[in-house]
Amino acid sequence: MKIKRIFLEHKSGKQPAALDLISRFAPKEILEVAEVREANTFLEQFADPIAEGKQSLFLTGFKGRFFEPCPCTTGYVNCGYRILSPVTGCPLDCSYCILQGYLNALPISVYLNIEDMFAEIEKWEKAHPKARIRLGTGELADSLALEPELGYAKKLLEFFQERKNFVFELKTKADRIEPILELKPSENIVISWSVNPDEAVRNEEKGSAGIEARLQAAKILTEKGWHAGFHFDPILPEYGLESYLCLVDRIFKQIKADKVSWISLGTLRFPPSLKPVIKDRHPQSRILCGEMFPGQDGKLRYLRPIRARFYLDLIHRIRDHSPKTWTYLCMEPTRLWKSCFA
Amino acid sequence: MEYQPAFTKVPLPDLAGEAQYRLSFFRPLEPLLKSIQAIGQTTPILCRQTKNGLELFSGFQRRDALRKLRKKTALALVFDAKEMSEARAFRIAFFENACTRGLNPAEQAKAAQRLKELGVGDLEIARSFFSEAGLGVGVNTIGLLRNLFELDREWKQYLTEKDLSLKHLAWFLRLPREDQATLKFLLKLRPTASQLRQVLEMIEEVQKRDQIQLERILKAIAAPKLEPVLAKLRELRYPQFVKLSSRHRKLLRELKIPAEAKLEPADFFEGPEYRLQISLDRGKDALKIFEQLLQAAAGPDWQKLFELDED
Ligand code: SF4
Repeated sequence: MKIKRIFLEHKSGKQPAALDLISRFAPKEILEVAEVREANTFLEQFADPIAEGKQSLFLTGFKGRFFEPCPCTTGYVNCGYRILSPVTGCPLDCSYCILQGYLNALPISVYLNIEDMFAEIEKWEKAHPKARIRLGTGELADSLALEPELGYAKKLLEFFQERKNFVFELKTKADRIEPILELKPSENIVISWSVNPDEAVRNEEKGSAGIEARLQAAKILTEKGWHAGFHFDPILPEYGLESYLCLVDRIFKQIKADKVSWISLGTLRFPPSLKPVIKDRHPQSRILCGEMFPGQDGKLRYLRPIRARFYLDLIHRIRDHSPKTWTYLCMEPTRLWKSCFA
Repeated sequence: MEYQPAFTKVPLPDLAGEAQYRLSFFRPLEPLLKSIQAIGQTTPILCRQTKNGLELFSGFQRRDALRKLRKKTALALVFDAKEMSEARAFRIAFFENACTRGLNPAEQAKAAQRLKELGVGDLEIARSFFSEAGLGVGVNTIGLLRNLFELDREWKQYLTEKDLSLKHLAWFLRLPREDQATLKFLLKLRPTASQLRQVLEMIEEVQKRDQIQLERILKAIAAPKLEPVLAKLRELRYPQFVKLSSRHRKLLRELKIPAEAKLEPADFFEGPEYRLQISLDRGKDALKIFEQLLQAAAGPDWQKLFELDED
């Protein structure tokens, strides 16, 4: 992924970690800034500041908590997932990406103090010795899109391989698996891919690896003993149920069922405030053409029978291939869970 | 730059410059007419003296008002073309209009087009003109303004009068000319701004979703009045929702729910919950309304309300 420029926060400037990243990404420009607002102002002069931000890194330190419960909303079933954010922002450009209207920083923020993040997790682990939790880095960023230059994926894997209380997930739409190939597979690590039919990937997931490349990457890793996960999320009904069912077939044709740790299903949902951004930045997108209405949390969702149809048929097709694969719904109410898994 | 204009009277019929400099479109002349009638012309118009004659570059509305009042001359500041280039004159015209009364979308479109002809790039148009005049037009919108400029006069006038934002019209403005012309029947239905926005948005979304020709959609929604056009479009755009809603309405009829009671699904059929709202007034028999409701709730069909997925 080409990074055009790096914004270097004054106080992080001389850190070896920053210098190391600069040499690995070899950007065209390096700009020193006092804070992220200065970087934003710089990027705002471009016709599409968000797109420009996706080609820029902001190297900084993070003072808050790296490790948080996944922000599921009230009224919907929470899967207990936790998110870890050593990076926020993403070089890919999915039309539906919530980050377009969500983050205060236009460039991708790379936190240099990941040792603090590891310390935070160790502290949490000590305080909760019996807990067994699932966590991952793919919520506010793509876990592999900046690899291998970034080098965080490998560090994270090495850290979690030792900690069996955690089931750690790297979630991606990329195929940059080089850092993973350098390591030995581990039972508590899952590399997962968000998947969509080819046409949807081409039209809605700019900059991501094609679906064949993602499946190839998954095949290589699972053949080496790694576990894979798949997220049908967001499902975009505009691209047709049949194309999603074919995708399930493709997955199980290439990946052995016993290597698939989980499959999640979630239809598209987004806050109404994202609509003008999508219209403006992705005029080719079809995602605003669905029958979407505001739900209990204010987010737009497809009409319930449409969601139910997709979930039921996908669950059946998954079961046909692999009755035991753990399959779950993302951000759906209990009622829908019950009717889908009855 | 120090200008040395001459303050003088110029003959109205001799003034050229309409195509190059005029920015006012679809603006009422009456207030200016009344003012000039009452107190005369108080602000001079601005002209350039070129070797081909006089060019008016700012004050077209004043010129029109004076003409209407059958005046033969106007007070003017006349600049020598050597000290007032075409580009400079247009910049003055732009800021004089934009900063005093603002520019409507058709005027912005004319300005963007003219600036392009004068060799100004989009980024500079956005920054050194629109943004400096506080018009809030970003560089991405400049392309849309140009599309608006190309639009036929009837559309341009309607969109300007209804004050529709360009962002809402992006899809329409990027359509080929033939398609814009096909959609002209909408103007005859006299939609309000929000209705027109809705119609265009729904057509756009259906076309994108179904990947079909515009003509096919227009054939499916054709009707002589706006209401049926809107209803047919909604049916095309939200087929499942319309189906659920009509099933719901049919059930209400079968259940004989009284008209005074509104039984509406909560959250767009998200769950089997309904909201019941009863309006009572002195003249209505409240007991009868409640009895009818109780009867409906006790009947065999009541349960159907909660079986959302049944056809
Ligand atoms: S991969 Fe994820 S984070 Fe990146 S643009 Fe797409 S949705 Fe956003």
